[in-house]
Amino acid sequence: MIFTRLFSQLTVLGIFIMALASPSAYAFCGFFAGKADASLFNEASQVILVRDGNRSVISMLNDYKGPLNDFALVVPVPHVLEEGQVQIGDKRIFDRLDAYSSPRLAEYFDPDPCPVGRHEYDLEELAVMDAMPQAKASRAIKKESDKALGVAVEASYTVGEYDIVMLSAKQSDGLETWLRQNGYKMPKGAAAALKPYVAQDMKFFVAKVNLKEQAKTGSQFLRPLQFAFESEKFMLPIRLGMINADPNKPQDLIAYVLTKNGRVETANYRTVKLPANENLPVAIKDDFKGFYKTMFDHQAKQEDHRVVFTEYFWDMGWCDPCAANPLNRKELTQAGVFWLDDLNIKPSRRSNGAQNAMLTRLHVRYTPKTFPEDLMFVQTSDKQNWQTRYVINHPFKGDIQQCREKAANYNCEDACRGIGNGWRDFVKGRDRVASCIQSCKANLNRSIESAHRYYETALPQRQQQEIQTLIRYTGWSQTKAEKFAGYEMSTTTNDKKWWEKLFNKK
Amino acid sequence: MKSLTMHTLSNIVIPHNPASGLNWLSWHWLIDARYFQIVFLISLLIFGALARDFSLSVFQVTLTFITALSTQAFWQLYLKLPNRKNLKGYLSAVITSCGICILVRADVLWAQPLLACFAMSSKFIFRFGEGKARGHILNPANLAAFLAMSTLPHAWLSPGQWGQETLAMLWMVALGGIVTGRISRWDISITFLIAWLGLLAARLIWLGYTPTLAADMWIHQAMNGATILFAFFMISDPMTTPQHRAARIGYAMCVAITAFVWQYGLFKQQGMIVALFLWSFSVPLWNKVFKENRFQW
Repeated sequence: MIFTRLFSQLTVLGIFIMALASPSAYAFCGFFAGKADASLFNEASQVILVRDGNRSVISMLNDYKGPLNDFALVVPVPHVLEEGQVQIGDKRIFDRLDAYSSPRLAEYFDPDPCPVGRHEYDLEELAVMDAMPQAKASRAIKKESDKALGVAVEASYTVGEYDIVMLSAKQSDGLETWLRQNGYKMPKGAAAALKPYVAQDMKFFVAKVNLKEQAKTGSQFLRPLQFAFESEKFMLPIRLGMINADPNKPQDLIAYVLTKNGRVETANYRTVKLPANENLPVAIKDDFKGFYKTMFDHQAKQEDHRVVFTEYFWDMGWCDPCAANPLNRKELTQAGVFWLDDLNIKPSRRSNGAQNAMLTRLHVRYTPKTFPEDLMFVQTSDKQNWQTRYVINHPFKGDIQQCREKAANYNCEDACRGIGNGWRDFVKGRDRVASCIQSCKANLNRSIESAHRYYETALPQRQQQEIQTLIRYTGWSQTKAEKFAGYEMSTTTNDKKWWEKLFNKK
Repeated sequence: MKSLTMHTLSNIVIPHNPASGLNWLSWHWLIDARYFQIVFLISLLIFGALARDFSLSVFQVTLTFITALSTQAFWQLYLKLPNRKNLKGYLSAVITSCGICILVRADVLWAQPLLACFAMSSKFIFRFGEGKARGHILNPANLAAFLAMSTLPHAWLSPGQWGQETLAMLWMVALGGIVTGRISRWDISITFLIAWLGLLAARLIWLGYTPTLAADMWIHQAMNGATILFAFFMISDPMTTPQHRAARIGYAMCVAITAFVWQYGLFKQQGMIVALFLWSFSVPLWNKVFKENRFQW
């Protein structure tokens, strides 16, 4: 019983990917980031991995930009893939997954700290609002929304614009020679890189572009390839894409992993969550993509390009806030989710139908030096939703002076007009008008106090905190971060050094 | 009979004997090697929580410790054990709690405490062997890790959590060495490491990786904190491994080979945890064939 469970949980599968093109080696598996979206990172590849049990569906979208007749893709696969196991994927699904899972910015506005005339405001309630303006603020969520060579051709077919051959090989040298003789331009060192895969008796999926068919598609870009297979290995071979690559040059890969039970992490590299979910200076809104890129660069360098970053993990049924709507059932099926039909899914109460699919978005910035092994994945039981969400809080536009003027111009007598004393007041000996005026005046004082606290303490402190967070995220200097934030840092008494206070220096 | 008794005594006494060269450490609180182990594991736990994004909450850790200690107390009192008033029994609870917190990740509060309860209870329930060799056969932390990966929902193991940092490994080897040196079970650790790392190297050579890359890959696999933690703090548990040295060496090799086949033949995760769990059940057999008295702390 235990073992059945164990096997089903740990069953993992594998596929190997390599892209070979001339003149320079072209790496397939390099991926990128949302509404700092995937288009942001150069030389980034994107992969959709759908995995349950020992079944996998992999879609690969490459960022190849050279002449199409030079394009070739070599993917080591665990067994021969028949024609029916390969199809053309839809790039829009990548775009949808990207948009849904991209890092997002949540925007909030502070309320007026000077609530003149709002008698019902209670001082304690205001104090709470000063401390946590975002908690009570109104939400305005940003939506962006061959035999001598020992090589055998096991199968050959055309799928869309791709001519595909499935090869088995006994020796990697033979495989390299075969590929050369058949018009594939192979980078130096290819045989050495292919050797371990040949030794593991893997087959090779080789695709090149059929220019005639390609012209029919009318697209300038290569469409993604999608294939389905069964294997115990749950992995993504990134090493083949590194042939001839500079050992220290980073490449990006974004993997959208769809599973049934929980978050996916890498088994042979550390998986970390990017810093997120803190308040940052409002200025990042103007160039959120720029900010995210800078932050990712810094974090990747800090970890010495040795880790895999989680950017998003969420149940496909919903999102909060939503950068884009979750994928519907049809889109998920197109993405390769194969279990939706063999399950009687009960319609969810939560949203437009929980899809029984979990999306983990992994972003890897790897170098040949720091990632000596292919990526091995493991599905955990973790179901806690997590996202890279950055919060900005617009300060209320105003100052203490304005608040004072507002208070001065507020006429409590007028405000309390219309309140009259009745006979009960007379009997009980109370004066409602007077107490209204008294309460109104007290409110004016409280409003001014509240404005003082907000403009002199709470806001500057929060902005200081935002700058420190920005420094931690991006590795910028204090000066640069302050300049970027553009806050008018009136050095309040609290920020002065003790000798500055003593000598009264500015 | 007499010689047997002598043997037992030497087993117990030698680690405490000033002549062993460890007299500088012979303060009463340092006598039991488990104190070293606790200090070491707590350091690891703090390192993991602060520097390795272990996503552990203070509540989870506290509850795990409380549950492990209470479970130990319950069994000691319920079974009216002669040593029930001895606080030393609780050392194992502390060690197990540390192990669970270091190894097991969970997205709920109850998973680690529940595992701690199972792990501690297993010591009193699953007892095998005959005569003086009788005792529990499952390492509590190993059992907890196995249950977390195989059956318990909301709990999982994170094999990649340590990263590959040379310094951390050296640090661990150094401290691990002290502990195993104290409890005379360094043989099993070293045998396991040689067998495991040897198998990894042999695989890379057989697959024909270029020497540079093979070396990088081997280092990447060897520099995993999980390997060192397993070799020095789990498989080296003197209570749950064969008592005779020859048996231990054979046992360590069997575990290493099984773990290797699990991971690189069947392509599954956590080979070491699974292999140790499976081989644990063979310990009474090893003890029957290779006779030796049971270890005493």
